[in-house]
Amino acid sequence: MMTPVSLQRNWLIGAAGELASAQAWLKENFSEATWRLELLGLEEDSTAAGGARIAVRCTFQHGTDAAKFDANYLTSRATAAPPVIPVPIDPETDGDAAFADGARKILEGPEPISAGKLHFLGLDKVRAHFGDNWPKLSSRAEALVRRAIERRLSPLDVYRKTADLNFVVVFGSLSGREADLKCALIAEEITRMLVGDELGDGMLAVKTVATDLDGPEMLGRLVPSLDIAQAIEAEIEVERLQREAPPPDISNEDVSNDPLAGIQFVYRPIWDVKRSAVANFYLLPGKHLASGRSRSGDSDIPGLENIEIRRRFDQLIIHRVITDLRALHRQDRRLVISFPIHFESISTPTRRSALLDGWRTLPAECRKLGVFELVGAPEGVPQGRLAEIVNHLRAESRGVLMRVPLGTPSFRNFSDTGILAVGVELGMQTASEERVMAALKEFVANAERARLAAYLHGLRSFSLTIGAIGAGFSYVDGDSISSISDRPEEAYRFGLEDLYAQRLGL
Amino acid sequence: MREEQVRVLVIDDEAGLRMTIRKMLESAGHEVVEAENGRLGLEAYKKQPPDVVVTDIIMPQKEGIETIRDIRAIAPNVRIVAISGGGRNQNMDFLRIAEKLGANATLPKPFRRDELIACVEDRDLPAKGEAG
Repeated sequence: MMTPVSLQRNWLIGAAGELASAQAWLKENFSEATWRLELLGLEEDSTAAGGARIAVRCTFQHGTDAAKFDANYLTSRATAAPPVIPVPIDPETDGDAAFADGARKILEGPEPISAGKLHFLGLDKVRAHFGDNWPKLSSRAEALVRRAIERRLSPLDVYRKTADLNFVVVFGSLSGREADLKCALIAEEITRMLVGDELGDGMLAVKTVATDLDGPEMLGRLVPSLDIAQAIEAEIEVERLQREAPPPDISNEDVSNDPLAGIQFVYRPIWDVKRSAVANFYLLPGKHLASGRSRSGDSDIPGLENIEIRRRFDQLIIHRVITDLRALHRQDRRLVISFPIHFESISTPTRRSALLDGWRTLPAECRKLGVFELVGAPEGVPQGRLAEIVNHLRAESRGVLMRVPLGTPSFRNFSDTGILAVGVELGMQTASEERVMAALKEFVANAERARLAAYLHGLRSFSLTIGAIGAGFSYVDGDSISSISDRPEEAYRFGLEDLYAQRLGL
Repeated sequence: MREEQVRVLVIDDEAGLRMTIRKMLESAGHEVVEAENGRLGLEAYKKQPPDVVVTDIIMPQKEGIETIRDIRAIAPNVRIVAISGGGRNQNMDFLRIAEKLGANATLPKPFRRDELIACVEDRDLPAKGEAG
């Protein structure tokens, strides 16, 4: 680490190779321990190659003869390069310096950069879409894009425009996967704002840079390059080559240290028993384990004991539902999607906002086809607090369900909170069918006392399915009713006779 | 229409109801055997075929309509009476499906002694209000 400096020189570079040239000159004339060259950011300049000039700063250690640099380098460059700016940059007022400072703090940290810290957002296809109209729209479009980006960045993140509708974002506080998701949400919102839903897919380029480079190395790679975008593209190529390398032999080890790696989603049709119809599909997460077995459901997947993993998991679920609701909307199909979300992920305004930011990018007519199923609510949540949380979600969805354990003795606390129905996931119930059927009858009776409907997930046995219908459940799903699918399928009529016909092969 | 004593297999998961049906039928001179679900009922039928089967619909292990279908597959002529409380959702639908799949008579719960005996003996059901 350098001792406090007293000499700084800032200037703009506008021609190819000048940054490398400056670095070479400094290496030749000064000991490397006495100076540091920094990339401050880009200054737009339509006269420069690439449309921008790089602002750089050289910081000299106290006692170094910086005048030699002034006389022998900067002056000689003045005739070939744009005017020197030999004044200190105030980080408080200068956006470039703010970006550079922010990026440096993130990239020079002690931790290696995990994949995803650095993202490149490219919307060139959006520009191409507007064709000759683009010049008239560009400034307005840029303002919208910047607003979309800034709305989602935390104080620890920085971003910078690198070219027309191309931005680099450096995330200081998110993991690679979270940064991926955030960029995807940003890109979706931008595309929706600029070109509408129907052209969503394929209009965006969101690229992640850097795999296991450490921060100073990344910054060092960026500095010698004239064009940040070019540097990033080079890194993407490195990443691509690394991805295409033969995979390591994992036959004797766990597939991934990330519990959420390999999560897959399927849908189960939900049977509305009273209306004899299927028009609602339940999102079911699952994972194939290295052992070859599969786990499904939001409580059976290993690793979900960790609260941060659960929150990321919920983000994955929301993102998947957003994607599928958009697709249904484009196809003009009105199907309802229900999906589980952990109670703690929406229990405070901050967490709720973090989770629902993306949800709110959906058009209102799409949001009204989503049903939140709250899982894992602790016992004894005050009715007033529950009502407040439910009302927030209801305002942005079709409704809210509450999943509880099978033996829950009373739902009085859920009355008048806005919850539509209480439900159970049968999952890996080990009790006898006799006991389960008795418990199901009691469950529905308790729900009715609280004026709530009742729903049931995971019916595997035909006799239990009949028992659940007999007990009075309004909504049921499971293997014994219908098989799973990758996407929500068509709505259709389905009654008791259809169930028997299906079962008995009639 | 039967008048002689018959052997009746009663299949129902509720022990109390099985006992009540047993008393009703024995008081009319009939022999009763019991099973607490469709799976055990089918086993009992195969072991010693009865003259009449009275079966509930909503039961664990194996529900009643499948049981009716399976018994009918091995005994096309046995008399089958389906009974059902129907639960809170779809009462008559269960019994209508049971009839379509082979039940000779259906009886919604709760039912009277004379109604049950009429179904078992293949007699006309007494009119409502008529003493049995």
